[in-house]
Formats: sequence, C-alpha cells, structure tokens
Amino acid sequence: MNIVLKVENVAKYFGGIRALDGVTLDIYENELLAIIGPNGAGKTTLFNVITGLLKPDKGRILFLGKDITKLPPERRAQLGIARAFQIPKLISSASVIDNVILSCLFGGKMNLNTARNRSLKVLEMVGLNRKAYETAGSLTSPEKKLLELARAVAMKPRVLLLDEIVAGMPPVEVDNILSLVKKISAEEKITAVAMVEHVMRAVRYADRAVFMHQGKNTSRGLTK
Amino acid sequence: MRPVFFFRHPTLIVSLAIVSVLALLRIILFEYAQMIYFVVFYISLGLAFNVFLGFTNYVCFGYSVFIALGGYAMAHAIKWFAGVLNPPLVIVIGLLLAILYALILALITGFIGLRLKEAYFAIATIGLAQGVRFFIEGFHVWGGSEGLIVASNIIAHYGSKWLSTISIDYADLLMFSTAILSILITYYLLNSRARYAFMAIKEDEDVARSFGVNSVKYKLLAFTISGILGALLGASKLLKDQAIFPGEAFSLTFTLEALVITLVGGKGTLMFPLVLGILYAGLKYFLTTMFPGLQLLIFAVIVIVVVELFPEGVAGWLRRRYKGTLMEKIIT
Repeated sequence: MNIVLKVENVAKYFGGIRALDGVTLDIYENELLAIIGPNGAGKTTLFNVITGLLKPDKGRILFLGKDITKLPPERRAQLGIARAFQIPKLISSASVIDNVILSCLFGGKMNLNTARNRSLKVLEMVGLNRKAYETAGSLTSPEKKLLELARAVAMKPRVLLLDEIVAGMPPVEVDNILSLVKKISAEEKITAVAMVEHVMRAVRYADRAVFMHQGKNTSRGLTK
Repeated sequence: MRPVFFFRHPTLIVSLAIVSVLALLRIILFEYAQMIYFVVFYISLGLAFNVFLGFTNYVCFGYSVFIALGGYAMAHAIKWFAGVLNPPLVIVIGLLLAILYALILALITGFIGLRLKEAYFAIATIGLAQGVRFFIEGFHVWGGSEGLIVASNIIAHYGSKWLSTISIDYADLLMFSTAILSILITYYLLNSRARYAFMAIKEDEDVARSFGVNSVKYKLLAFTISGILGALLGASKLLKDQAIFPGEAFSLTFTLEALVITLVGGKGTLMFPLVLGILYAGLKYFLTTMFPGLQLLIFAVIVIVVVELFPEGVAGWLRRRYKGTLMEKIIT
C-alpha cells in the first residue's frame, strides 16, 4: 500500500510541555486510521501540525512524498489535506450550502458552478440536502457535525482528518457518523484519520489504530 | 425564463438609482450643489472604507492617509503639468498618480501589516497617517507643513474661469464617478468567489486557511481596493478645495467618520454604507450648525445605542424581518 502521509519524528513544545515528543506515523492510501488516546495525549496538536496551523519544533511532514513542513495551511488544503474540527467552525450567518461551496472553491479549486453541484451532492450524502438553504447557525448540534464533515469531504481531499467529531455525542449518533465516514471514505476513495474516544469503536470502524499517550504514539496495529 | 434585470440585481439597481437621483438634483438644483457634493463624499467614504472593514473585519485607523495621498497626487499633477497639457488631461494624470500612490502604500503596509490579526493590525495602523504626516512635515517634502496650494497654478495657466469649472464641475463629476465605482466594485465583490473568502476570513481566519483560503491575499486585495477608492476621493476633494494641508489631511476625522458610517447599520453590505452616508452627511450638516464641534460626540452616542439595540446590525435585523422578500435582496 502507498503511503499518503508520513509524520517523521515530529515534536512540538509549549514552554516546558512536550505536546508532541517524536511522533512517527505512516498513513496508507484509502485506509481508515483511528487515533486513540486520553485528553492531553497530543492528538489535536498532531492534527494542527499536519494541517499547518502549528509549526513543529522538530521533524517533518511528507504528503505524497513531498515535504510540506514549511507550507502554509491553505497550500496544504489545496494539495488535498482536509480537516473537520472538534467544535464545528461553521459560518453561522451563511447558508448551509455556502459553507460547503467555500471549501469546494478554495480547497477543491473548483469554479462556482462545479462547486455548487458538488456541494449539493455532498449535502445529499450526509442527509442535509433539505436544509441546504437554511442558515448554518439554525442547525441542531448533530447536524452541525454533519455539515462540518460535508465541508471537509466536499473539497475532494486525499486525506481527511477528523478531530473528535463524535466527542460528546450519544452512542447512536456516534455510530451513525462513524458509519457515514466509513461509507463516504470508501466511496470517495479518501484516506481518513479519525480521533476516536472508545477502543471498541475504533475496532469496529477503523482498519488500523494508533495509541497516543503524553505526546508519543506508544503502539499501533491492525484492528481486524 | 430569466427574471427581468431588476429582480436579478435589485441592490445594484437601487444603489445606482439613489446616486442617479442625487446627480439629477445636482443638475436641477444647482444652488444645492455644495450640499449634494457633501452627501456624495460621505457615500463614497462609507463605501470605500467598507470594502476593507466590511469584508474583512479589519480596521485601518490610518485610512485618512489614502485620502491625503490622493489629494497630494492631484496637486502634483496640477503643479507639474498645468500649462503643458489641457486641464482634463492633467486631471486624468492626477487620478493615475492617486492610484499609483495608494497602490504603493497599500501594498507595502498591507504586505507587512496584514500578517497581523485584527486588533494588532488596527494598532499598527494608528501611526500610519501620522507617520506619513511627520515625514512630509519633518523632511519638508511636498510643501512640508505649509501644504500645497494649486489655485494659483490653475489661474496662471488656464485663467480664473477654469478655476471654478475644475472646482465645481470636475470635482463633482469625479466624486460621483468615485461613488459609482465604489458601488460597482462592492457589488462585484459581493457576487464573486471572493465573497466566500471574505465570509470565511471574517468568521475565523485559521479555519478559512484550513479550507484553502489565502487570507493574506484576500485581505490585501480588499485593503488595496479600499485605499485606491480613498485616494480617488482625496483627488476629487483636492479639485474642490484646490489646496491640501497636512494637519487637516492626515487627521483622524475622516477615519472616524468612515467608521461611524460603516459600523452603524450593516458593514459588508452595499446598501447600508450608502444610506448611512446620506444620513450621516445630513445629520452632520444639521449638527454642525446646531452644535458645532460636538457632532462626532453625538454620533458616538448614536453608534452605542444602535449597537445595543441591534447586536446583529440593522442590516441583520432587517434581513431577518424581511426574510424571503425582495427587501431582503435589496439590503444585501
């Protein structure tokens, strides 16, 4: 299997705190990788470093064999790294479809017409097509999570980073969203990396799992 | 069947109609020409300032520097080319110089400053206008603290008839043109892919970047356009005043007035800075007569009251109230 994203010995320090301490990780094409670990393990920091919102103090990030460590976040998004945030960072006053069009236009580098069609298709995938023209702020909490997911998927990324998108949700909703992620990533041929709270869910949905603790990836392995 | 032009572009049509009515009044009621110029000046000021503040949520406290540079550019064109070229050509050169000066300043300050976040950028620009003013005064360039007076150049080379033609007709024509240009640019930005980039930048810049938006590029675009429109405004003002003095030209007054016009109502819209520009000019005219020197203080109270009553902006409130109607489309 081809390696899509490679994290090489990455370290990130905040003063005396070692948020990431030599993390090394290979992410393979079309897999669903679960990252498991307690709060403070460095999972979100790792995503921030991969997406370029934080610069690592040590190590490098390779995407499709190319060193992207020094690229700004917008270039990484355009290359095909998308992220759904733990707390949906939506444009509340804009319509649901405008939130998705945004990522198609800039992350997906589509023209306005293509972006509109793609947005409608992705909203249908996540079941939000009937709310396309409502404001994002009027959605319920689970719907906002779905819109966050749709926005990331819409830009046709190679790698989709899901930052605890199911955190704090009832078990039924968690299963719904993780099933949806598995279905979409398979249909759209997207490599997905999801932070998952529960080991059993990682076993059920992911192909592989990585455990993180105190800024290190302590163990990894196949889930099946 | 495609809807008629008005229903496809109601905001644009209504905005242009308002300016056209003012232009018609300027022709018919010539005795009110000065008052109408005053109104169109504040329309243009609000719209020009809104291109940056309204689309990015960034405030440039040194905005008056662009208006001043436009004035200096026009003064330079008159000083350098009066007598060599005919007056309309001199004015065209003045406009090109105004665009050039604003472009250079916007690109230099924007390229460095716009890497800062909102509040830090605002702080950084506080010194911009005063810095350029002290440079001009301290190094005695562009007339130093005495400023530039061009009336004598116009009289010497073209005669006193041209003085009034330039001061009245050309200044008014240029001010109306700047207002129309500001309307067209704002409308274009509101209906292009740039709108999505600005929407995202206003909400959360880091998230915008995570979705592929080059935030510095779009902020620089808005800052440069806003600066150029401000410079065109300043060039027209120079034709009207026929003199520019650094103490007045670089003062904070225009920036504060632009802030009032843009913040009350709905920043980032086309219709509100336009309507507020008219209301501000009218109120200022009235308050300056009734309570000279206190107009900005009174406007400060008005801003606080409006912000308290309409936390989502008057535009947001109206949009909610008239959701799904033609009015909602007009007030965008």
